[in-house]
Amino acid sequence: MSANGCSVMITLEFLKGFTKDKMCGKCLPCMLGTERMVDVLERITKGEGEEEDVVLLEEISSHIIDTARCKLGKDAAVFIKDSLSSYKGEYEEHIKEKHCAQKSCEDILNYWINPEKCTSCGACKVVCSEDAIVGDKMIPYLSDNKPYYIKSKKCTNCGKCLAVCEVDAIEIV
Amino acid sequence: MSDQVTVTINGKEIKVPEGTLIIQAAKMAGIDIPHLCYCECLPSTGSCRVCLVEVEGGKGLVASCAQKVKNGMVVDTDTEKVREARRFVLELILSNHPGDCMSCDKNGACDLQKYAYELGIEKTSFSMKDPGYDVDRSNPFIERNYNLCILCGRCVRICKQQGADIIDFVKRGMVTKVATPMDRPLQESGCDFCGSCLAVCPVGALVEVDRRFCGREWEMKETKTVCSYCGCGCELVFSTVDGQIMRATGEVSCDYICSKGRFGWDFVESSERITKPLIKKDGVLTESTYEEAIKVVAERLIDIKKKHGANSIGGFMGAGNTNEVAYLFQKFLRAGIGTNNIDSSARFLGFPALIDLYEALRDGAVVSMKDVEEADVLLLVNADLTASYPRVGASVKKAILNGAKVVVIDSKKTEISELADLHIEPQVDSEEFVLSGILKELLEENLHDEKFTKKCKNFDEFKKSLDGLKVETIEKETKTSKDFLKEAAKLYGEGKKTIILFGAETVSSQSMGLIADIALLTGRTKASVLPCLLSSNLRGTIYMGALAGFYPGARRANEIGNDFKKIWERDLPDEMGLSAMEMVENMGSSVLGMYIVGADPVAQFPNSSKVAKAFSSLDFLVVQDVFLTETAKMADVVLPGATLAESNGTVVNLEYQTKEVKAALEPLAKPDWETIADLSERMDYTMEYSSEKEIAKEIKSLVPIPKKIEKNTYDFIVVKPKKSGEEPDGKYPYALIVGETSFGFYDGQRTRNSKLSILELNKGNYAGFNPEDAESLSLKEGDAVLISSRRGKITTSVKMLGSLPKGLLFMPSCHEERGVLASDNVDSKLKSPQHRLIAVSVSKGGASK
Ligand code: SF4
Ligand code: SF4
Ligand code: SF4
Ligand code: SF4
Ligand code: SF4
Ligand code: SF4
Ligand code: FES
Repeated sequence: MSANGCSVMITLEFLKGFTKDKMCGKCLPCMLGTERMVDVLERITKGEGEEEDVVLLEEISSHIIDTARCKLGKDAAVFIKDSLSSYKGEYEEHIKEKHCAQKSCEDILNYWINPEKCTSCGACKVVCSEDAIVGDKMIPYLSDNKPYYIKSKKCTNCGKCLAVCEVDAIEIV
Repeated sequence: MSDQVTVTINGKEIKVPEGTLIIQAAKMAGIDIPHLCYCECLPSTGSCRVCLVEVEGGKGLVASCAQKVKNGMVVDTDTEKVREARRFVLELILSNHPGDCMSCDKNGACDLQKYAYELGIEKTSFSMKDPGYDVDRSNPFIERNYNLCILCGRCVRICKQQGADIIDFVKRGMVTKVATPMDRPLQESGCDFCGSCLAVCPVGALVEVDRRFCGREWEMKETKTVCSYCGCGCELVFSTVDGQIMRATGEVSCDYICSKGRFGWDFVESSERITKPLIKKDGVLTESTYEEAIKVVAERLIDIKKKHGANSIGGFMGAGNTNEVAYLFQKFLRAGIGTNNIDSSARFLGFPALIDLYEALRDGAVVSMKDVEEADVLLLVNADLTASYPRVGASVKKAILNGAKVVVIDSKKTEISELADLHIEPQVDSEEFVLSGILKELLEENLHDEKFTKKCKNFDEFKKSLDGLKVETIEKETKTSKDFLKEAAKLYGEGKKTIILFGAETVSSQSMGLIADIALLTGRTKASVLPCLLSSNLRGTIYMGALAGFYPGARRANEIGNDFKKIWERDLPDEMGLSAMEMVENMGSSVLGMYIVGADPVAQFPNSSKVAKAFSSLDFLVVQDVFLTETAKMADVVLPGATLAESNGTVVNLEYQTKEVKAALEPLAKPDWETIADLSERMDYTMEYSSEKEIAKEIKSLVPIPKKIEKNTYDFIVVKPKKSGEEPDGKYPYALIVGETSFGFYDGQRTRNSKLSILELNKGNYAGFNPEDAESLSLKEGDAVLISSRRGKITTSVKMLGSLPKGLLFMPSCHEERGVLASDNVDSKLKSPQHRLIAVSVSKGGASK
């Protein structure tokens, strides 16, 4: 999967690559610290991040810079630290809004029906096998028409509705 | 002399030698820098980062275990920044450490716990992770719980340095784990069970199985004493709780002690121990009291002496008793009974030939482990070091890591031969020719020390005899090309600090002479030859006079004058005394009463069926031992013996160092010296001592501490090489040698009663075969075979040993029936067997034991 510009995902993939190819495992802070950071970043990309996580990442990376045995480990930590300070907003967006603007973090993508575009045809509700879509077909002149809406808790991001919507009203956010 | 540099640590100025690590310098200044991966005896890896310190003017923090001091360096070990970094690392470790100090045996001695406490870490700020590894409890020695492992790597490094080099880091996902190849259990990975890994582990990841839940660190009482197994005489510290041994360690955690020292002590607690005197009544050994048993022994011995004379009584002892016991035993026989018929296992383990070697070389034959570790060339002759004298093996491994070259002469492969630069695998029993060949090559390559040899009176005679030996003869006898001998001569000759190591019980007296010649030819007369000794007090036993023909101080029986007579207040016998095999020869005729202490002649002496017959013809036999040995089973009276772990006194190890033995346990039996003294008292020869210290005093007055005698003139030992073992022939086509194994020891008496025995196939009751030989005999591992020699036959199990050459069979010395096959031919002068080789025939079948 490509990171497509999401700073959190780029950082995660960078770290995973580092542990796989470069990290020698010869010093504890680097080895255990990166493992921790991978955990935290994975959590954030899943939308399970907590507000302290950014601070935690900042702490771990600065400590690794202080304590790691070699330049490889320190450089990796510098990369994380830079990413944190340059793209603070993106991290916060992932954590607070559970939202990935670059649409890289699959786990926090939401299928959403844009009411501006939706014609209330009902085709999506028919194909949704998870009963995640609620709403009624539009009945003209009725005042309490129920608009179509995807319950994100039930939605599995299967994409079937996306394929049937003729007006592209279903968006991934 | 290295230069001194000045450093300031936490404001304290201190001078230390150049090249000192910061952490060591701090220690000298009385400052303990927390550390987890660093260990004094191991190369630093700088991996845990707990020892970080601040160096003034430096960029960041530095690992004090990996950085050497520089002149003028200013170091701070306890700044806010340092503490922060340390706390971070410790918290990371703790968050990967699902341990519970409450039930952990390391509690109280754990470095992680200590540092966490010192930094006041109550809870880690990271979430807890549990690696979830299975705890390895598959062997009864070392429990491995890698969930508690902090990956410091000490175990990996020490296993490489002095163990079997079988563990390493393996990557498991993002983090690493310590594992054997393929993550097999230790017992399937070639582990030596030296326990070195366990000794240096700073946390509870590796612990002795024996102590699990048996006692806390702070409840332990420590007693420093000496290992009772091999001649290395390693110092052991027994930790006991309520009179029970919890563990044995070296004095310092990284001191090497082998599996026998660390785990083999449990025979002491065996239920098979003899704890009460036994008297044979109607053919059955029946429990009795000391009082009654001593009375019976005294009466019977007095009776025999009255009827047949003092020389109808003899004594024999093992070589694992303290000096004090050995001294008292021979004094009892010589002065108390009035016979010189006293001999010991030393007769079968290299003596008295070794006495000649010491006289020939003096200081040259006094070598310490440190000397070995610092040598640049080591020449090993028939010395399976890691199995027989493991501590020496560990020192050789260290020397190899330090860059030493090693030449091995051995017909079979050994752990060390696999690491050697040159391994000469001659035809078995042709060592004398190999050594002569090396001497010839040293001369031919002009590697001898001419200035030195000129001073030796008989150099010309020596050289002439060598010249008379043809290279073709050597090649024919050894089945080895002279190129190898030349290479060995070059490696040895070009070395600066060379040591020749040999197994005292595995080479002939002639080989010892040739070994001394090699050292002399190259003018190496200081710490150049190390006889490796098998039994814990071999040297002391001799030095105390428990050897026929020799009185205390290794003084020949015919040259003692009046010294002993004066102090012992008795006339002493004129005869030289019978050696062990001579006593056996005369049992039933002129020898009628025997007193055996700590030895099992009936199982151990060569041609044991004949020996058993001889012993059964005795009028009276008394045995003093720890276990009911084969000999004890035949005895009229059995007196309980004490183990070394229950004794006080001294022993002398193979480095010639006298070591103090201290009782770690309440003895299950009377001290051996007391039993001997009680008996003597009953026989009207009073030997009154308040403790073994008093015996030691008497010894000192008689036997001056061996002085370093400067030797100025040396003589070559002129030897005509020969083969002395039985040549295999049509009827007995295989050659068999008996030798030590890693987890068995000598007569097997102790290892058989220890957990260690599970590590040897059939407790060591097997015969090793070269796989090709086995195939040609259609034998598989574990099959029963019948092995016969000219003396007798035994049925035993087959074990495949790739280390053996074709045609050679191996039998562990701890094999219960090893004596049956061996020849009782002895050298006419030395009165000891000079050959290792037994010609045997092999046939499949027989009931497996
Ligand atoms: S900091 Fe360097 S030495 Fe330490 S684990 Fe990372 S890569 Fe290895
Ligand atoms: S298919 Fe599209 S247009 Fe039709 S109801 Fe669903 S979202 Fe609206
Ligand atoms: S290893 Fe140390 S820190 Fe861990 S549980 Fe045991 S005593 Fe506690
Ligand atoms: S017991 Fe000795 S050989 Fe076995 S793993 Fe530990 S250090 Fe290595
Ligand atoms: S087992 Fe012990 S010695 Fe080995 S790496 Fe783990 S903590 Fe260190
Ligand atoms: S090397 Fe010898 S003395 Fe040392 S522990 Fe092992 S058996 Fe005991
Ligand atoms: S003790 Fe120095 S890095 Fe571990």
